[in-house]
Formats: sequence, structure tokens, C-alpha cells
Amino acid sequence: MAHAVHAPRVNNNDDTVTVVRIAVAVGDFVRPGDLILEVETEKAAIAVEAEQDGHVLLVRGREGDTFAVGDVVVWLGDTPDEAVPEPVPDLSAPDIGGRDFAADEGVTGKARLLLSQHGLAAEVVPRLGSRLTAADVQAYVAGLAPTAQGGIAQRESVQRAPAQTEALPAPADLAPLRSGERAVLATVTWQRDHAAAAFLEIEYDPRVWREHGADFARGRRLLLDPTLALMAHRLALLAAATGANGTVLEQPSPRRVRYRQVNLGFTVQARETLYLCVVERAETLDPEGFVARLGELQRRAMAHRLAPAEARGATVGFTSMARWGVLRHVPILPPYCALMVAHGDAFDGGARAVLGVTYDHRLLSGFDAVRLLRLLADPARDIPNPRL
Amino acid sequence: MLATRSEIITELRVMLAELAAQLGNDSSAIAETDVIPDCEVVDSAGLIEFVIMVDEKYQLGIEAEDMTVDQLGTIGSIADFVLARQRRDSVRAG
Repeated sequence: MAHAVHAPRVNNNDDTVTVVRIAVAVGDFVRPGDLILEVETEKAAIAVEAEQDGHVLLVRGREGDTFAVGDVVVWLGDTPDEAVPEPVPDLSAPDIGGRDFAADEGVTGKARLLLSQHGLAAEVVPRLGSRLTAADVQAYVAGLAPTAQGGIAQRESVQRAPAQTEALPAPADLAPLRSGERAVLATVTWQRDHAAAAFLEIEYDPRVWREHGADFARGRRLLLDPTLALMAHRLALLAAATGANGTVLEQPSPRRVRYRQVNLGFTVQARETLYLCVVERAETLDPEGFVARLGELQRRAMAHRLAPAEARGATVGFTSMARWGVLRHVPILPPYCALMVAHGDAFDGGARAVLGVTYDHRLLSGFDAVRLLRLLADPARDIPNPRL
Repeated sequence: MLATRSEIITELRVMLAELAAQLGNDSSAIAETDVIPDCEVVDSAGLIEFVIMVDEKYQLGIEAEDMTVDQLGTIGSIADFVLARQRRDSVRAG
């Protein structure tokens, strides 16, 4: 059930308040006591805190807006995908300059201004964090071709919102994307517009890993099979050692980026929501520490209680579709990631399986990717010394 | 009134069967003392879902250190875990 956070009465003489700070974004999870808003009148200012657990479903308006006392400013829900109990804005309306609360979700004021200046829809710009910032928009725009007049030319694939609705082949109902869907859109858009995504795969003997995982679990009396977590941990060590932990920035001049830590992203399907849990500084953890940390994140994700900071900032990724019997799949690169490893189900009586990797060819060659997969496929092989 | 061990086991079986069915598996033959991960009716992700369902149903507050085969590995051990937590909570409540 959704819960409203109302504009509070600050003093008896003022029937309106001004929002001076919005401390949450759509998709955030808040606990009782967490700051949601700061509002003020000419006489006083107060903080509005969450009174109960909840996922932020909708933030109406922006910092600087004035609300009547009692107006709903934020909607919280028990789950991140809960419907907001108020009318969905008509996105087919041609006036994109008007107030559109759905488009305001998780977009900073500066970013909104830049989007307007460049005629971009917020959905097409990849975001590094939970909110779309001016830096995200600038990075996206920097990847576009400058015109002779010094302006910015849009790519053909980047369309203004009204043009997209005009292109629909049949009458349709429109609704804003949910937070998880927006994250997926940001991922595929980043890969489409920025990465040089390539894919390759190798076959390997999964029994070695299965036995390794079983030994690990047996010795520690673990309830959960740690095999995938151990593979992901090894991937983090390999990424740190081989330089497969970075990205390429093309503007203003091409630069290779090498991250100073490995943040291992691991996909978790929680019913209909796909999360990318992120184990920060994964290369500094020992196997026990990594398995425990990832297990904790998986549990929180499955309960839809993942904090926003625990689902962003991945530098490399690992995903498995083995539980669905999928033998091979081609993952999409998360923004600013060098690679995403794809684990599939075993076949041929459990004796064979495929490990694949989508990688950014601007950073890694096919040789680099194969070498990494071969080292990943066998837990007994030594990890090379870190690249200087 | 708190559920009996037998009632808890019945409820646990229903929850496990639901998760197993999602993966196309049948958990009806699992005995009270069978180690669930060894039965291969649910995978690790399914087991996490199972633990979350149990945790939410009985309000157990399961922590990472509880995630062991000894505590939560069989239908019977889970039922004992639930009863122990309920007894502890009722003592605390006075």
C-alpha cells in the first residue's frame, strides 16, 4: 500500500511551504527517521522524516517549489514497483515544457535544465547514480557530434519525446517506466551509444567449480551453494590483475580509465525485478568475506530492501541464467563497465558448460577477454600478478 | 496462539512446494530430515526466497550467521528454529 508524505504545517499563519531540499529520489529505500524533505516558510524551517519503511515511488515537484499545506509531496510504497494512487500524467501531451511530475523523478534541477536546453528526454541519458545529474547529461552530450555552429547535433537515435509518440504505429496507452525499467533502459542506452560491445564465449568443465563450491560449503556448513559467488569473486581478482576494470572516455579527448577498486555487480532476479547488487572493493575481500557480503545483498535484493548505494557503481559484472536452464546468453554492459560475464547452465550430463563475456572493445581485445575467461573457468589456476 | 511443530512443518512444505514448482520441480518427497540443498528441488536463489518467506511469515529476524545447514538445512531444523525463536520472543515479552 502506498503512503503519502504531505507538506507539513510549519506555523499557524502560513498555508503554504517551500521545499528547500528533497533528500530522496525515486527508487530509494527509507527507514523511519530518514530525512525526506526540508521545507520552510518565511518564519521557520523544518525537516520531514519518514515515519515508516518504504520505497520512494514518486517525488512531486522539485526543490524551490511551493506546496499547499497537506499536499502530497512524496509517495512511499511497500514495494518499489507499487502503483502510485494518483493519475498518471499523459505523456502523449505535446507540451513538454509544462510540469510533468513523472519526468521529474530522480532528475536534479541542473540536469533538468540541461535536458531542456538539448531537447533530450531524461530516459535516454544513462545515469551513474540513482539520480540523473548534470554530469550525466554533460557526459552524454559530450558524446554527440558538435555542429559547425558550435552547437550540439542530436544523433538520429536520440529523439525528442513528442517525436517518439508520433512514431508509434498504432494508438497506444502510455505510462512512465518503473524504477527498475528505467535502470534497464539506462543500461541498454549506454551500451548502444557509448560502448563498443563485443561478445565471445568458451566451453569449460563446470564440475571443477561445482566440486570447489561444494568443498567450500561443506567446510563452513553453508546453507547456500557458494559456487557462483566464488566465481564472481575470482572475476573481481582477475579484473584487478589484468586491467579489465575500467572504461574509455572519448570526450574531450580519448582517455583510458582504470578504476582503483573493483565493484563487482551481480544480477539478482527478484520476481519481476532485476537488480544488480554491487560488492564494493571486491578485490580486497577474501572468499569468505565476499560470499558473506554477496549473500547479504542477495537476501536484501530478493526482499526488495536493497539500498540505492548497494545497486550502483559496478565496474565489472557477473550474471547467471543457469537456474532457468539457459545455456548461453549475451548480457548488456552496465554503464561504464568493461565487461559482464555470462554464466549458463551445464549440459552433456553436467560435464560441459559455456562461459561468455560481453566486453567493451574500446578497452579490451578479444585476446584479453578469452584469457580472462580461461582463467575464470578454472579455480585452480594462479591469478596473474597485477598489471603495473 | 503459537503454531505447533506439526503445523509449522505443513506450512513450510507448502512454501517449499511453491518455490520448487516455479523451477518445474516437485518437493513432495522431501522428508523432514532431508537436507534441502542436497535435494536439488530449489537452487541457491530459490533457497534465499524460501528463507525470506519463512522469515517474514514467522517474524524471525534471520541473520547472516543463521544461514547454515545446521540451523536451516532441513524442514525439521527450520521448524525447530521457528519454535526456538518464538519461545525466546515470548519469554522476552514477559
